[in-house]
Amino acid sequence: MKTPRLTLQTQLVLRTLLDDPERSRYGLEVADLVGLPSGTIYPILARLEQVGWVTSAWEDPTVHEQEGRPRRRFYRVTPDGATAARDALARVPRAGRRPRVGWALPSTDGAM
Amino acid sequence: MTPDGTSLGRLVGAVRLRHPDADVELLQRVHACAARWHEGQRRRSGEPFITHPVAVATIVAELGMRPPVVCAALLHDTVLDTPCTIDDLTADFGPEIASLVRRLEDPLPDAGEPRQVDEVLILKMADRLHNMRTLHCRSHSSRQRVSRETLAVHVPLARQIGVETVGRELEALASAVIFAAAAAARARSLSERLLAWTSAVLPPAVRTRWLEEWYGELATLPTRRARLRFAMEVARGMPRLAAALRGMRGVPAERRASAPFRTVLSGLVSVLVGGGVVALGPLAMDVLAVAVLGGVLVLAVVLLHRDDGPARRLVELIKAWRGTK
Repeated sequence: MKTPRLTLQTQLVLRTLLDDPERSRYGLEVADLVGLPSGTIYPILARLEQVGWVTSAWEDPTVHEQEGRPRRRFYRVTPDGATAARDALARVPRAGRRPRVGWALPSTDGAM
Repeated sequence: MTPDGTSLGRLVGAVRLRHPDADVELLQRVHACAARWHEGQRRRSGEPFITHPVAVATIVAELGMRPPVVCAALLHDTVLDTPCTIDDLTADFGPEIASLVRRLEDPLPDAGEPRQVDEVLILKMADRLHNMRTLHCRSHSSRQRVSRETLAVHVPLARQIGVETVGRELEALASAVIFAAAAAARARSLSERLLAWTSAVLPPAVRTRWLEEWYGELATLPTRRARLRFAMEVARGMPRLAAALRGMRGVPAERRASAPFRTVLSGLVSVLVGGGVVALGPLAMDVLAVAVLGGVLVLAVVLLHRDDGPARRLVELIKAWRGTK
């Protein structure tokens, strides 16, 4: 499983999703929880889905049909993705300790 | 053979099938008379008006109605739209047919045989059905109005008087118009238009999926302001999303922008140069664009992401051309 670039925003999204890994959330909900604009969130979710850390699905038809609105897309961490994400997050330098120029960041590709 | 002739043949056949001893000669006389009254009149689609009564009469005949009703169908617009009067019809074709036509405009609740009332209603259904089948030439608002009326009035009525097939077709035709308008109306909101336009950079295969997701979110936002803000935020993130979906991680924004940059340059030059320079291909337009801006460096940035032969040869050509200046 490849590791995506762990930008600060990506880390924030991951931490939020990992807060409640069983729960499915729609895109706007993630944006609100993380505190980032939707335009930042969707690319991150797309990348996470590409590497298999996150999965998405359409809303249950009975719910949105009853409410008379179009369906939403829900996102959720995958079990393997949760493990991989926790590992990767643990290896990220903690806030306040910015890596200096030349300091090797935790290796990305093939880390799994 | 005129179009009328062909459809008249079909009409006669339909009548004969269900009423073998029908007075075909009368039917033909009625058709000729209606054609004369409606001569010079045209439908919105440009066809001779007579095609409408013939179509309605055919629907009525195929429902198995009696020949007098079929004749009334052929004449149903004569009294309304032409100098023809009920008295004329009575004189030419007798009281029964004239009475049916009169009832179309003025369905008296009394004195009519119940059978006649039913038959007149079926005539109205058939009239509406043909109109629904030929809605295309009407204005958008007219189509909406007619469809809504059909769903509210004619569909339940058709069920009640027992012409199920007509009711079903009316419902299908009217619903299609209403739903199409609803979909188009939704797309007209500014937020949705913004999303639809900016999502053009996404890979076509997934574009609809993302648009549907965002339209779903839009539907949950309470105010227009919130919807616009959402649309603008998503629009701002569109290039990044496009990059993520194409799997190009970590590509600098300038390189990714170069393809649209070229297109914009070419577009700009074609506007500047004007319509005379029609024969130039896109690559030549790029050359021209760069020449106008006067920078080989710009050209190199623009073309560098392509490493194919033609691009390299062009760069050499430009360099050489600039060398002669």
